[in-house]
Amino acid sequence: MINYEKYAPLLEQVEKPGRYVGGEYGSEIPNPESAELRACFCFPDTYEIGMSNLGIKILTGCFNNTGYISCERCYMPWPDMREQLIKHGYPLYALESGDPLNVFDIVAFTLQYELCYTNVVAMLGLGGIPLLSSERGESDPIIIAGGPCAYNPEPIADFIDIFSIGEGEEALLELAALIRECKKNGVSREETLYRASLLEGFYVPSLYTVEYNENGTIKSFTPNKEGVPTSVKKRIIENLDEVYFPCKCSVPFLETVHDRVMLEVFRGCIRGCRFCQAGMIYRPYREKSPEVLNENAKIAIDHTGYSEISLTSLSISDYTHLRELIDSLLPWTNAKNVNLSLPSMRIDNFYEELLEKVSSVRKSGLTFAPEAGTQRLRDVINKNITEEEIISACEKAFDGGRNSLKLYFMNGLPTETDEDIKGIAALSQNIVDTYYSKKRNGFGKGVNVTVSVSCFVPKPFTPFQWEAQDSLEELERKQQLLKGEIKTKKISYKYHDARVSRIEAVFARGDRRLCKALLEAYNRNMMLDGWDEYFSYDRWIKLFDDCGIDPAFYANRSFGLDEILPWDFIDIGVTKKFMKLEQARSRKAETTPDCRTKCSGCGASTLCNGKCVCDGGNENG
Amino acid sequence: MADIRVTFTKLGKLKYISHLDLQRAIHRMLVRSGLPISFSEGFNPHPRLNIALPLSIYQEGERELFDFRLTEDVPEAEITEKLRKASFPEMEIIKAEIAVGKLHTKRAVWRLELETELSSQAIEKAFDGAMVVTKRGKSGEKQVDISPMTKFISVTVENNLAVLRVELNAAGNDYLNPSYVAAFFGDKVKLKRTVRENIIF
Repeated sequence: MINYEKYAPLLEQVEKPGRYVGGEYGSEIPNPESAELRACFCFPDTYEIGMSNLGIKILTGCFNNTGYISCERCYMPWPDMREQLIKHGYPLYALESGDPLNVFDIVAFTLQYELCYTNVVAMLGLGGIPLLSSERGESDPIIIAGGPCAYNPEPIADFIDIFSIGEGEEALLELAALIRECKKNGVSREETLYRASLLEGFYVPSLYTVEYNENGTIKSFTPNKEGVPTSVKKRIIENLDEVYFPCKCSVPFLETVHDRVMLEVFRGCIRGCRFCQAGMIYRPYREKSPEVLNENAKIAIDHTGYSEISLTSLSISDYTHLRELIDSLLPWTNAKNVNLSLPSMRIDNFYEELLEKVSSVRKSGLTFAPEAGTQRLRDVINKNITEEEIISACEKAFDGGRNSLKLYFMNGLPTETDEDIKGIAALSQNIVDTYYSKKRNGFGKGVNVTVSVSCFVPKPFTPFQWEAQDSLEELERKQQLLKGEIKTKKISYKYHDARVSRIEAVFARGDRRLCKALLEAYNRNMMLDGWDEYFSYDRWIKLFDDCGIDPAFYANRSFGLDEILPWDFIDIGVTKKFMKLEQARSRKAETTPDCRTKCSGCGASTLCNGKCVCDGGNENG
Repeated sequence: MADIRVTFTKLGKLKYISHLDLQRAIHRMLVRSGLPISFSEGFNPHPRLNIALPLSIYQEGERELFDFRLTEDVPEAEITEKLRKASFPEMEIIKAEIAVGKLHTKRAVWRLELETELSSQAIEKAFDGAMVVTKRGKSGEKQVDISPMTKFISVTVENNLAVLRVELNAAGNDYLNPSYVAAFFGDKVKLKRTVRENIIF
């Protein structure tokens, strides 16, 4: 085990030393000294956020179960700890052994949001690892990255040796086996990376060359070595009942963001909201059976002692066996004082009586996401819910005794006008009026509706991937417009910082030329951009300017439908043809039904041999 | 319906864990144990738990105490065994037994490891007279004589490392943090380790 005496002088100088010592219940790993391969999973944000990530729990578990890998964890240190590490000359270390990142064979990052890219580079630097893939030698770790942002790996391509595209449970074990074999036989780093590029689902950026047109768009994107595939196909797990699930995960001492058992009910989403990247990249829709989920949940609660289970998935009320699952969970969760929470309920199939049942231990808040204020705009984004459905769901919630609701909206959506913004206020007012339309007993304070509005960020692999983001001024004008439209104190209005969303948009649709900006950001000590206290819009704009990068080229430009997009070489199953069709429909405010109602022929079922929620390759797209 | 008193250690890495975090970790340990735990009523039920005295972050404890309640009788040996299985690294369950009396703590025995050039005689002698330190409270700083709350037990010095044992007041409204004892010696000592050896109640 780690000798913490070495780090004690550092730990006594930082605000939350518990972030940097590991030793949580259930965090034991195979002995690093006798393992054939040593891996470290890094989460490029703080411990409290990283320990909440289910993906990391799954993948570290998969690695540690192999018998030949010893897999540890590392999180982005807070500036106080970073300062101590630098002052004492210690590289960033992994939590189980206390060994620096640069002694590992594999160092893996999960990319959950664009603003964590600076943290990835910072962690490499703190870990004593050469920042650029091209600078790394035979003794340096192989740097892997995956997660949702890996679907456009280009802005961070220079720093990563191998990207894992799609679900990692099987793919990463194949990669680890390859790396083990190469290590055993003394195969060079270059050759190892080449062999990795031949495995399905892996992208090795150094093996591709990009050429640009004079107008800055991509002219060509081609492999620069024979045999390297021109397109990288995402990996999925076909049968979720059979894949590893971390029932026996570690239990943190510190309070983390999601401090509970997270039960993944299904992957994918049948909905097809046109702004939503998760809804496209995680297709096809695959469910876990209620029997396996119930069994997983029991083991997880007995092992961890947690007092809450969260059913996590993109739109939980779409789960076919939801009632059955809840009926099998409730008898024993109630007996054990364990609370069930159902985040991400859809408005059109929300069941108050179901919520009433699940909140029999603790009552949690209720959140709906209409996303847009008018029917026209909801049709543009394919939200597929009507105002009547929204009002009726809220009424049911009020009738069930709730007097507090949270509503999520977006501003800056394609085709949005001031009428749509005013519609958010009108809809919210309508909900407040609904509450007061009846005499309600027992709640002296009346109703509170929280309206939370984020800014639209066009994301790769969505029908809106070509759309321009509104200018910063326009986004901020719309935020103020809405503020003026809200006339009652019963509505609490919150909105995101548009400047953050703009930087996010730059990196979301960025290409390889942004790597230069990330390197310069590292040189300027810019990091923790997801944190208000460290994010500085002005520093970013100055930096882009100094690097000769025009942020508007990425954020505020309509990309051409025939343009080569930086992420085009990745095959997510859903076809570009389908995205174009959806984009065209959005312009006519035409909706597309959910996958269960009618297959829209998106192409994702090809990843599952035609097996899908729609029962198959109805390729009418 | 018995109150169970548990004697446990909070050592090593656990010194980096705050009291609130420890409390949550014990809640979970109790649930994991599978014992018939009594829960509080109300909006957010949790196991009934009473930890004798909080330890500040960076302090360790060799014989810490908490009480919890069972809804039915279980043999002491079985309780100890189940808690041991459910406990986490560096929290050792020394024993679990049926609680006698309430956990009204009075005094605590502390061991301070100090880096110092002072002799053992010099350290011991300091405890003879008034010991005035600056205490920071809500109403600003004030000078307090801690000698009435402090009882010297022993001191040994070897290679500039003094091991000082003291008994300090530890009642709820009359608690003396051992850091003040170190503070009394000012920059003549550097506090390396603080361990609570025992709680007297």
